Amino acid sequence: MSKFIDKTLSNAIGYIQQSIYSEKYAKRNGLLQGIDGRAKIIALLFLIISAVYAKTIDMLLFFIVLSMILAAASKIPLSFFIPRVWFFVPLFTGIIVLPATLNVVTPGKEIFTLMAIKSWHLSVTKEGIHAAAILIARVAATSSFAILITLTTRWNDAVESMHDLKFPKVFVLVLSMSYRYIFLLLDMVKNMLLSRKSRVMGKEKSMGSWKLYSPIIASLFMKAFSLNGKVYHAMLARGFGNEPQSMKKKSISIKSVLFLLLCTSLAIAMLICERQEVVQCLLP
Amino acid sequence: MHIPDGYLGPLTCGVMYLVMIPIWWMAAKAAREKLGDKSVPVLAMLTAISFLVMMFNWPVPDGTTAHMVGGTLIAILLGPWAAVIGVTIALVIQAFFFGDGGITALGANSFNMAFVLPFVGYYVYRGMRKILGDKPSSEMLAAGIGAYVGINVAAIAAAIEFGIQPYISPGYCPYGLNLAIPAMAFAHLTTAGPVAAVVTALVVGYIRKNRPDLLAEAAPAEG
Repeated sequence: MSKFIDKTLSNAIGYIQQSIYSEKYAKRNGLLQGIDGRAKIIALLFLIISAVYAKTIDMLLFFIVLSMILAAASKIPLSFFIPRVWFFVPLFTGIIVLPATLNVVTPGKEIFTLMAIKSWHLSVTKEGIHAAAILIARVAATSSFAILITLTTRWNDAVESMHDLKFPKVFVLVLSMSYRYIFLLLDMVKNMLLSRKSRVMGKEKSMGSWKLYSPIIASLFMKAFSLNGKVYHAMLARGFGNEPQSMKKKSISIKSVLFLLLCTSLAIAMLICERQEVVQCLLP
Repeated sequence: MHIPDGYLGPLTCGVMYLVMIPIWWMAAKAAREKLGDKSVPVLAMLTAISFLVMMFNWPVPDGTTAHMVGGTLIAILLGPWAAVIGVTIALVIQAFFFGDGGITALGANSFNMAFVLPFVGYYVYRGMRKILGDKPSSEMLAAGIGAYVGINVAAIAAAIEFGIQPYISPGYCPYGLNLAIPAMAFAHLTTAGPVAAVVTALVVGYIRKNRPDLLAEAAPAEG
């Protein structure tokens, strides 16, 4: 059973480490870190939407390369960025789209036969490989830009930007508080699991872990409920007035405006190219 | 069940966002009316719990692990509208800050996991309680059945969103409804579903035994 404790523990520790790494890169003096949070979120969202629309491998490769250039310009080592993007992409998307390369899902020009029983055969098709490659490249391109938002924006700046961009007030407030709750509760979970792990000897049945986790989740609920009243009174004591306030100036730099214009123009241009199917004319 | 960016075509992504906007608005309104000024810390706590519940890996018979969403559990404790907000913001944090689930697919993911799952789970739970009675074991069974049905209906909703892609947006998810629905249904009927059912039932039983006031407070609030 301990492997499941280990897996959940490593998830918990992974989330904490990921957050610490994100803050580490977000503090660096790079291109994206210097861009106003509002401009950066809108610009990268435009690029994500444009990548979702992309249907040609050339265009998707362009987006992937662009994300790498932005990462390098933001002082994020490619040795960190590329595995972060590509570790999950081939692992999950690759496995999911594997059957799509076969003639039974995507009929087309057969490249080689995997299995043949009398008249029935299982083959890999050219169209199937093309469809799988497009899907993997699209997931990689979109997740690259999403990861860039995470790695170059500090949590407080992201929440402040959402507030400035007129996201609903209740949403921004809950978002900003829940992030802190997550790490508080994560620490509780980690301690509960570690204390259990230190007392486990030998192998336990799967049902044992189901029974172990349920009281942990239930006690999380109970602890959170009892914390709730205290947190609310602490908020009132600090002058909480249902309206998030920011101490930072709201002006936006010329550099941020230029970045936003450049990215949105690029995204719109790529969308037009995609629509007119003339991307081959622009990309060698 | 987290759909990443790139699997759903732009049309589906846009429609799912449009579908979710009134649902999010109604959830925020219901949270304000029901929870008042305390809604912010309560919802923040629910979001954090929803996020953490999705982090737990449960062993399943095929040797792999599955995770639950916790939507039915939150809906049983604080009502389905509170679950909509809690699970949605957990999905936002996962998508933006941990790369789990897509940003363009956020509308679809929220529809499946933050709306369909808690609402179906909660109303099945309520229906089963009427049928099974008020005994603690009946309540646990009702919670388990609610969670099982909720996660499976949500998985079918996700499968339909995947499965219609070859017909409306070729070049995205390559599997049609004939493949997507059986694949998602099988995985959730046999792995994630039983995990959600057993864990929800055990958590409800544990809370009933140790903090019955939490369930008592929650039950009459929703009609």
